[in-house]
Amino acid sequence: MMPSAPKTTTTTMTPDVTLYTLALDHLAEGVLLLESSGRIVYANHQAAMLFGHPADALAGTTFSAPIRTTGPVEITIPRTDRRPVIAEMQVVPLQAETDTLSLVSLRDMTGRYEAEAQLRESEATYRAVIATANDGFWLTDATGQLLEVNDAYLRMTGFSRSELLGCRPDFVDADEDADAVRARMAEVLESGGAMFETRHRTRDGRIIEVEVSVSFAPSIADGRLFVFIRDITPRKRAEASILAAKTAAEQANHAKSEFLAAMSHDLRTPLNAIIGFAEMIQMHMFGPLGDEHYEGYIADIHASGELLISLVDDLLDLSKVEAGKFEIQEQVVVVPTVMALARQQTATMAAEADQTIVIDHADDLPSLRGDQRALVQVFYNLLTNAIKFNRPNGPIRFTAALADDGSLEVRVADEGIGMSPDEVTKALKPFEQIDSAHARKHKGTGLGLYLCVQIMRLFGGKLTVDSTPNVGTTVMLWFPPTRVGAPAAVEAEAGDTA
Amino acid sequence: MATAPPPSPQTPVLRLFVLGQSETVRRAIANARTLGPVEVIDVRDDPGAAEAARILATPTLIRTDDTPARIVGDLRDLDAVRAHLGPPYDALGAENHHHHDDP
Repeated sequence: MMPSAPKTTTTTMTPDVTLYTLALDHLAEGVLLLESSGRIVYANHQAAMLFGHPADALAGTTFSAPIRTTGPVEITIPRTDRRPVIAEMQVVPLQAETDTLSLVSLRDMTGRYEAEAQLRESEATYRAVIATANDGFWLTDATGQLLEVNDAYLRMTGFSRSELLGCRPDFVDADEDADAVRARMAEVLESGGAMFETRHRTRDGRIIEVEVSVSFAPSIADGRLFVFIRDITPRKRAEASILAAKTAAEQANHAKSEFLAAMSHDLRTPLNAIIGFAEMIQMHMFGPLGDEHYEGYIADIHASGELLISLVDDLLDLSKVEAGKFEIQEQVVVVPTVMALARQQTATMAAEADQTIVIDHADDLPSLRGDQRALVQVFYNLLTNAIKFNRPNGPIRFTAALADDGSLEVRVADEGIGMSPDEVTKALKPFEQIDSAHARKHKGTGLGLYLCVQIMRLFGGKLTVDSTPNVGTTVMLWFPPTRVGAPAAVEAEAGDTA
Repeated sequence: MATAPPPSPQTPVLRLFVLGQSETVRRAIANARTLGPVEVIDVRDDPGAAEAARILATPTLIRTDDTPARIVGDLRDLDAVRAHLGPPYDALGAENHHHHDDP
């Protein structure tokens, strides 16, 4: 028999009843005993915990009419101190001595309900991810049969869901037939996933480029594949047009270089004749010229021919540099010797312009590893520029020095008209010439400085221009430490001076 | 027996205290409405009313006139609910059996 008195009267109970209430207090379920009016006559420890009130306080209050339940009824217990408690309630009548008591048992389901709510929420989240994705999605079984397909894929291909469900990928794949798909499936089941590009057929027969990402979940049902399909048709088209444009540009550039190389060669032949015969006339090889004017004309013809030859040579070198065919010899170069050679080549030009080139370098300057012919060309270019643009009678200082870090610096400094920063930028580009009255007097291709930059790049060095209008220009050639000194001594020297 | 109409709609005698929205709450409200006008109170919206009515659990249906009654649960056993509420609700039982049980 269950006790019929409130718990507060347990002191008057028999030892057996005390034992029962003790047992009830250790029950995992909440227990209430109700009178037919709904008044609580007893609440065990767990019920007190569920309601958040002491058992003594619960006794005497009205809970509910004791209506017998046929199955668990979900109730919620509002709590001020925590989130509501969700419990399953069962009510059964008990026959007591004085009144019909009902037993209310309450099982705490909060954890399970919350877990279920979380599960529902995460399910809804994942479902939404797939439903609202911009990428197409398939869920397939381990044989590739489509079990689900999202709206994005239907929009992408124009198929209806019912047309696709139950099909295998070869139904839409334009590149892979059933055998290829089977092979692909076997590979995915083996490796756990794959990413590849293929083409899918749309419902109206168009072909779209797609990027497919497949992952295999062996533990879901009898194995499921998650397949994301992205339409990369626009990207593929863009790639193709960029590639086509690049190829066309490369072809055009190549044709230009070929043309330049061929033309340069063809131009030299008649120029050689012009210069050669002009020299013969200047030397009066077959008798005097007669009128004095012809002496001047023939000198002009010769000078113009020489200029044309040098332009043609620049063009030839440029076409070689651009075609990657400008070859740098790896020789041991004695820098002062090359400097002297360059000065000698420009001596006539300097004398005519009343310019003096002053060479300055340390006696123990280390040798340079590089291409002597190319170096002479660079020095020659810089010196002729300096001669063209220097102020009358101004010195041109041609210096070489070893820097602290083991690199070698060669400078050509004039005191000429100089350039603004914008003009420096222009001067370093091919086919650009500074537009000034002074410059126009000196015809050229505008290739000289650009060629020097390219040759220095091939050396692994740099060319920098420091210029101030009306003060002068200093061009500095920097050769990396790895090119300085005899090849065997390079490493040691670089290490010591670092 | 008493066939008095259910109390005026402005001040329903029946009050149903619920918490939030769930299948159980939806069922309890539907069942309660078969009994007559019901004022549904969410204890989160009006904790004062719930405290004043000494609500221990939800859903709780209470009768607020001079024959008080209170029933906890989704009210699926409408006959028992009517019997417990007493007149006039107990007389309507026979003609109305569409109670809302588990889905």
